[in-house]
Amino acid sequence: MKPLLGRRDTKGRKAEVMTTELGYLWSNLLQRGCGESIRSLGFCAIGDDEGSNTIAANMALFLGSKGKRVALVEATLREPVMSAIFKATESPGLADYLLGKASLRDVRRAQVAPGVDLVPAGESIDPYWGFTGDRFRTLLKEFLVEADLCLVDVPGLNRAPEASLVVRSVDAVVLVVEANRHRAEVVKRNIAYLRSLGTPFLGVLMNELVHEIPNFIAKLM
Amino acid sequence: MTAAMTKNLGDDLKLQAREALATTYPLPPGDEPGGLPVRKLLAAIFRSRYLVFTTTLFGLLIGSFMAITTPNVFVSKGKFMFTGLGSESVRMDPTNAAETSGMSNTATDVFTAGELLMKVVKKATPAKILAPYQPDSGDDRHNIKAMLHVVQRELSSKSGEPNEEDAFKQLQRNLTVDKPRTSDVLKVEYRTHSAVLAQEILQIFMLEAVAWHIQKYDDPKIYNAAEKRFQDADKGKDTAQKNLRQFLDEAKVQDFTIELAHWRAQELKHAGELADKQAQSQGTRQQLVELAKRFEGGGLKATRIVPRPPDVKKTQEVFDQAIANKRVLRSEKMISFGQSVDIDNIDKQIASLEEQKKKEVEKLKSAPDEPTQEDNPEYKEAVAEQTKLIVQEAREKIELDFLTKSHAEDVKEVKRLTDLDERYNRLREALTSAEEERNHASVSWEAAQRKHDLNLGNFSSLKPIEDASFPREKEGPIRSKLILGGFFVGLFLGLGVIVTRALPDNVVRVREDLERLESVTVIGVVPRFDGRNLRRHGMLRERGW
Repeated sequence: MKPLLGRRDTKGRKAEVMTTELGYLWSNLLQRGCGESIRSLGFCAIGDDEGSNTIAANMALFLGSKGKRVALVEATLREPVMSAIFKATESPGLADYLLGKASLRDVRRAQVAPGVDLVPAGESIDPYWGFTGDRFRTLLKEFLVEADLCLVDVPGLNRAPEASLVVRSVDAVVLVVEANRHRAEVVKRNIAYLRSLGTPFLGVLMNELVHEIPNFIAKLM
Repeated sequence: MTAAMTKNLGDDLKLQAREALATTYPLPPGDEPGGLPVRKLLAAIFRSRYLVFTTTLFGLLIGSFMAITTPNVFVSKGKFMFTGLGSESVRMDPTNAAETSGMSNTATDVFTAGELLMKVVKKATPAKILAPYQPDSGDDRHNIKAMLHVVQRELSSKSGEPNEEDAFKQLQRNLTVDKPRTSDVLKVEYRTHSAVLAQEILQIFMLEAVAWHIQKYDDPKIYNAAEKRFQDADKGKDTAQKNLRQFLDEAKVQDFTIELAHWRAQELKHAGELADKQAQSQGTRQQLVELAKRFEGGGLKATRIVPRPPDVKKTQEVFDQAIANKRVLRSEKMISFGQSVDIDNIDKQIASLEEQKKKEVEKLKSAPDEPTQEDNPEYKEAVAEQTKLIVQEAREKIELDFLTKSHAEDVKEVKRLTDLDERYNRLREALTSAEEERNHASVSWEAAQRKHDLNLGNFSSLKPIEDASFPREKEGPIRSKLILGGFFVGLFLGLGVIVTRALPDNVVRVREDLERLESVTVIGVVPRFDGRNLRRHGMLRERGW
């Protein structure tokens, strides 16, 4: 999935829907204290490729377009995609920063989109160990000095052991669940796990939702 | 934006309420545990539409294949009259309905027996039974029908020589024998792809069935057994009759029952008459005794004295007689021309007599009554009565003796017959049993003979009444039905698979699936970005999803 906002869509339909849904999402986040008590927000998923990175990127673009200053941090060191999305250089990135090989200035790609600064994942040999220190938390704090909000792309909970470390570093977390992928028990178990980490859990965002029933039938129901 | 916020807050509250009232909160229709909501089912169907499409297409293809490859079916039909009176009916007694009630099943078993079918296979030859389907397209060999016929011919042609085993199986599959429970008509059908073959093979079957049935079930032993039973029963009846006749001769009666009844009635009648006669005789004797008493007491005398006037008439008669004599004499004198003196004398004598008569009559008339002795009429009557009673007594005595003797004979005869009654009853019962047995045996024997006559000297209960028919029109297949059937089978197979999969499915597919989880709030949804899905998403948003 690629970010839709900022791309020219001939019909504008997809961008419009995405903007609308992100608007709903932001409304709910605002209700839950986002931008005030919650300034760093993690988007995590249960497995790989559930679209949490895209959601984070699109959210950053959405908020940036609305005049917010947003820092987008890619914590998924195992499968980095942000540099490709925003057409930014991949290294140095967060991995380098966590290992002390690069400074904050080095890893920051300022204004990759209006109001959006990006910290790409970079190239990592050991994606886990870097998060065991305080540098990631420091990075977030540094960003939040200037930015209104810091959005973090969290690795998959069942794919990366560092996911819990990342979640504990952010102010709140949103679980992205891809439709038609997980059984209800799996979702429930991961939500319970997220809650056990102590980080406020704001809710679930359902991604890739498919409406199977045609409109003419749905109208009858 | 505000509306959405409100809705989501509403969802939160709803969720909290649901959690708090987990046991009392009524679930929306279709969301009840264990069920399969319509929405979920529809979603599953549309999600797996390619599966449904595939199975339907597969079914359609199979149906089409069957429609193309299934050969035409011609059915030849025939009928037997099958009374089921052969040895397969357990006994030969057709009057015993209970033992022949299972003939429907027996009939079909009998005529689908392997032995019979194998005979038919040998007679009809495996080549005919297994003859491949060779549809004829006529002269036009370039149309679709001709092409299909080519396919059918190719598919039905078999490699290898036809053998008896395969032919037997084919015959078993194609032959139908049915016997309705309420009818004696046995229906047989043979179906194959050729009308000629269907008729030919069924005809062979019918002929073989009769022959085989005779050979297998209408065993001459049974015929002989029926005959022997009848003869034995007949002999038994004769013996019983002879014994009874001998008994009757000994008893000297024609009909024992009537005779006994007659003698009993007669004995009663004579007993009554005897009693009456005895009473009557008693009465007569009593009357005689009373009469004798009257005679002995002197109350009755033979004569009596009665005063009577003199007898004028008698005196007149005496004088008249004397006068008549004189006149006769005078007449004689006149005839003989006697002397007139004599005649005058006679006239004087006559006149004198008439004078005397006149005087005497007047004298008697004036004379008083004189006592006269005469017979006593009462005495006469009593004597007559006594005589009559004596005669009557004598007659009654004779009659009484006769009646007493007759009654004694009656009593004796009744006693004799009563003593023989038990023996008579035994013999009578023996004769009745013998007659019944003879009747039963006779029915069986007649049935066996009838079967014997039904089949020109054989004795089978199976008789063809309708030969194998020549089928003029095919009975199947209905190719459009095969195609349509394949279509629907495929469709329902796909739907069945979907339902089977959807029932235990608890994968999170829609927003409601997440909301159904406890303590979970859905704060956003992002649809999959394809045109159709976005349109549906937009519609749902418009409708207040």
